[in-house]
Amino acid sequence: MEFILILVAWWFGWWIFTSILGFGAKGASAAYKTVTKGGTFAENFSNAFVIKIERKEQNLNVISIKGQPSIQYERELALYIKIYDAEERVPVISTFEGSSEFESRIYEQRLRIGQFKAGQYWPNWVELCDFTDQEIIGPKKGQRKLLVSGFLWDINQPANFKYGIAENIAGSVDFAEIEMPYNFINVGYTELDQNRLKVQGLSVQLAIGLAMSDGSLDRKEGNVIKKWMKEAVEIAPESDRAKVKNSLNKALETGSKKAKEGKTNISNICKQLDQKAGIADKYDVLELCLDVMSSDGKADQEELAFIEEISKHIGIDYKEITKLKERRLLDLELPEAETADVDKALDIDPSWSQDEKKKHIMKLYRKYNGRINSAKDENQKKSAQSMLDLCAEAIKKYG
Amino acid sequence: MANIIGIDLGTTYSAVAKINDSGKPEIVPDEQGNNITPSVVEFTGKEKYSVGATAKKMSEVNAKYCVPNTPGDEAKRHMGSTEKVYEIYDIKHTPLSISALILKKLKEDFEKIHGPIDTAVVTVPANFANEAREATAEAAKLAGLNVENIINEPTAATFACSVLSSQELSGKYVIYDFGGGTFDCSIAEVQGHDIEILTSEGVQKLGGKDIDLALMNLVAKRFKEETGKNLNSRSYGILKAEEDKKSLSDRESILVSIQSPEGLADITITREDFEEVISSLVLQAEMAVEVALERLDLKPDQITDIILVGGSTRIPLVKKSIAKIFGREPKLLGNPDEMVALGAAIYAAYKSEGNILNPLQRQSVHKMNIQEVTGYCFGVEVLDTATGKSKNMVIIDRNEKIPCSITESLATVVDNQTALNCHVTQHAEKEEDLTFVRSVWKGKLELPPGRPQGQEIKVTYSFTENQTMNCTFMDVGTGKKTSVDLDNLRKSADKSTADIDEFKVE
Repeated sequence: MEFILILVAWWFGWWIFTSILGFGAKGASAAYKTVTKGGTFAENFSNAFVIKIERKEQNLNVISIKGQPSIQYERELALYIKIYDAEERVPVISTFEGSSEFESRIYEQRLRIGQFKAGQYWPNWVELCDFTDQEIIGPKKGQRKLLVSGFLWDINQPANFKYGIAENIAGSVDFAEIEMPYNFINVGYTELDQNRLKVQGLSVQLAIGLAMSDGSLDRKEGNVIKKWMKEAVEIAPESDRAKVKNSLNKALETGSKKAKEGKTNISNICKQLDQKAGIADKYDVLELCLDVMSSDGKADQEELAFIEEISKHIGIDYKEITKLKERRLLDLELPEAETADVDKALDIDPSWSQDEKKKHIMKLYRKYNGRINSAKDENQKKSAQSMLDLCAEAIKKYG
Repeated sequence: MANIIGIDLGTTYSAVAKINDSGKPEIVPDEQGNNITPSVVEFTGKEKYSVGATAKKMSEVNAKYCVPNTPGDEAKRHMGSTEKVYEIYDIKHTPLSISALILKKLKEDFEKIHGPIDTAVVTVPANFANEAREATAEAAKLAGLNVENIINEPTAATFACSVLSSQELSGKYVIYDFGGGTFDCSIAEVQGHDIEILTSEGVQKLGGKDIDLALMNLVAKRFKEETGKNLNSRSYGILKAEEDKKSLSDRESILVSIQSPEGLADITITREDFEEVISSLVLQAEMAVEVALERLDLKPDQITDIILVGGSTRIPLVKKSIAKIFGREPKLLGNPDEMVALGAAIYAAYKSEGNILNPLQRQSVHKMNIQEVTGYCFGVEVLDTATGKSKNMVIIDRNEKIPCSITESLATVVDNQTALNCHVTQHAEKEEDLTFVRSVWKGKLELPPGRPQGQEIKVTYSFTENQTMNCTFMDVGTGKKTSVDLDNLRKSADKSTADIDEFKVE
C-alpha cells in the first residue's frame, strides 16, 4: 500500500511535467513552423507527434504513432511506451519481464527508433508494439480508463524510468498520449493484497488435496507444503505473521479433512482462486502442486490428472503448464506404458479425430525422441524414454 | 600391403572388415572363426578379462563380473555418459574403457593373422550425440587404433550396398538399421557411387536386446501363471531368450521347457504372443521411419528400396512393419549383420591417402562421393525480449548439408553492455527451452562500455566435412570476436589421455 501511495504522490508532479512537455512543446513547434515555413498554426499543430491504440483482435491491443516529433537537431531516439490507469493515476504492472522496467514490474516497452533528423516525420500510422489483455495488471479489475503514453527520448541520455517516472528528464524529446476505456481482466494489484490470505489458503487446500489424491499423505509431500507455507509466513509483514500462520494452518486442516473424506472440490476452490488470484498467484499454486507431485519421485496418474484439472479451471495457457510440467517430469518415474492411461499421460483429447490424435502423438514422439538424444543425464534420458514408450502405446491405440 | 579396416562396434555384436587386394571389402572372422563377435567383456581378475563368445556365455552365470551385467546395460548405450560406471573387482570401469577393451580384442584378433592395422574407421549410430562420438574415438585411440574417421552406421551400410550390389543403385533408399541396441533410419539419394544422405532418424534405446528382454519377461509371466512362483533369470535368461527369439523367426511357436529350482513348466509361446509383447518396440521403429519420411516430405512410394541392416530385421513382425509402411516387402541387398563393417572398410579406403592403396583398391573407391547432413541442431542462448528470459535459438538446423556456414545477426540487449555470454548448444529437435538442450561450449566476448543497446553481434557457425564445427561471435561495431573450434576441444582433450587406466573412476 505504501508503494501505491508513493506512486500516486509522484504522479501529480509527473502529470504536470508531461502536460508541459506534450502540449507546450508541440504548441511551440507548431508556432515555429507557422512562422518559418508558413501554414496555419492549426495545420502544423495537427501534424504533431501522436499516439493511438487499437484493438486488433479479441485480445490484442496495438500501439501506433505518427506525425512529426518536436526535434530541433538530429538525435538518436528511443521511444518508451508506458501505460497508466487514468482513474487512479497510477501505472499498470506487466506480467512479463520483457515488457517491464529494469528494476520493477511496471509496464514499459523500450523501442529503438535510431537516428532522427529535424523535420523528419511519420506521415502514416506506424504500428510499434502490442500487448495482450493478460499482459497488464491495473490497480483494479474491470472496466476502467487507460492512458497510453509514448515518450520520445534521446538514446544517449536514457530516461531510466522507475515506478513509471523518469529519473533523468534531460534527454526528453517529445511526448504523446491517449486515453481509452479498457477492461482489465486480471485481478487488480491493489485487490491482490486484500485477497492474499484467502488465495494462499485456497492454494494450500489444493496442494493438500493433490498430495492426498492417492489416499494418504506422504511425508515428502507434506514437507513441500510446509516449506511453502513457511515462506508465505516469512514474507508477510511482521504484524500479520501470526494471522497468516493461523490462517494457513487452518486451510491445511480443512483441506486434509476434505481430502480424507474424498470431498476435495477442485472446481469450487479453483473458481474462488480464479476470482481472487492474480496471474502470478495462479502460477504459484501450479508450481506448488507440481512440487508436491514430484516430491516422491513419481508422477502418478491421479496427480497428473489433478493438476490438469486445476490448470483448466484457473485458465492458465495450457502450453505454459506443459512447459512447467515437462521440467518436473525430467526427474520423475513415469507410469508404466502398458498400464497407464495414455490419453491422460499424453494429453490426448478424446474428442479429437483419429488423424488429430495421430498427429499429436507423432509430434510428442519427435519431441521426446529428440530429448533422449540431447538428455543431460540418465534421469532425463529415462524420463524421455518413458514418454516414447507411452507414445508407442498410444499409436497402438490410435495409429 | 596396407591393412585398411572398418569396425562395426555394435551394442551386442561387433564385426571387422578389411579391404582386400582386389579392392573389395570382406569380413575378417575373429579368433574363434566367427564373423561377428559378441560385445561382452568378462573380468576374471582385476587386470584379466576376455571379450567375445566365451564372455557372453559366462555373462549368464557370472553376470556380476561381466559387462553388460544386466540386459540393456550395454556399454554402447551409455557412451559419452560421465555418470555410468561398472564396478568389478573394486575397479570402476566406464562405458568408454569397456568399449576400448572390445576394440582392443578386435584389433588383436585381426593383427594375429593379418599384421598391423594401418588405418581404421569405427562406426556409430546416426543419432549418437557429440559426446558419444568423441567417447568412441577416444576408445579407439585407447585400443591403439589409428582412427582418423568415424562414420554413421547407416551411411556405412549404404556404402556397402553401392559397392556390393549386383545392380547399380539409383534413387532414394531407406536404410533401415535395427541392430542389437539402437535403431536408425536414414534416407539417402544414391546414384551409382554418389551417395547423398538426406536425413537420419533414430531411437537410442531400441534393439534386439529390448526384444530379448520382452520375451524373457513374457516367459517369466507365463511361468508365474502356471506355478505361482517367480522365475529366476538364471533359469531363463537373456541368452536363452535370444535363441528363442531366433527360433520364433522360423517357427510359428516354440516350447520353452523350464526346469528350475522354482519349479518345472512347459510353456508354449506362439509367434502371435511374441509379436504382441514386442509390438510397442516395433511401433517405435515405425514412428522413426514415418518421421524421417515426413522430414523430407516424401511418400513411401517415392522410395526405391529398403536396405536392411542389423539382425533384428530378420524378425517377421519387423518385416511386416516395413511392408505396412512401404506397401512392399524389403529386398535383402546383403547380410544385415555385416553391411556396416563392410561399408566402414570401404569408407576407410575412401578416406585413406592414395599412396597406401594398391591400384585396384584405388580404382574401387576413386569414383565414390559422399554428401552428409548434420544430425543435430546447433543453437545459441539468447535473451527473449518478450519474456525477459533466456532461450535457445537455432543457428544450424538439423539436416543442413555439410559443409555449411550460417550467420545470424543478434544485438546487445541493454545500454552499456560490456560483455556477451557465448553459449553454444546442441539438440536433436528445435528447442527453445534451455532445459532440454546440451551445452557444448560457453565463452565470453568483452564489449566496449558506453554504447546503447542494439549493437549488432554476428554469430557464425561453420560445420566442416570432417564433422567439426567452428563458432564465431563478432561485435560488428569493433570487429572484435571470439571463436571456438569444437573439434580442437576434443583434440586438446585427447592429448591429456594416454592410458586406459585414466578412464577408470576410482
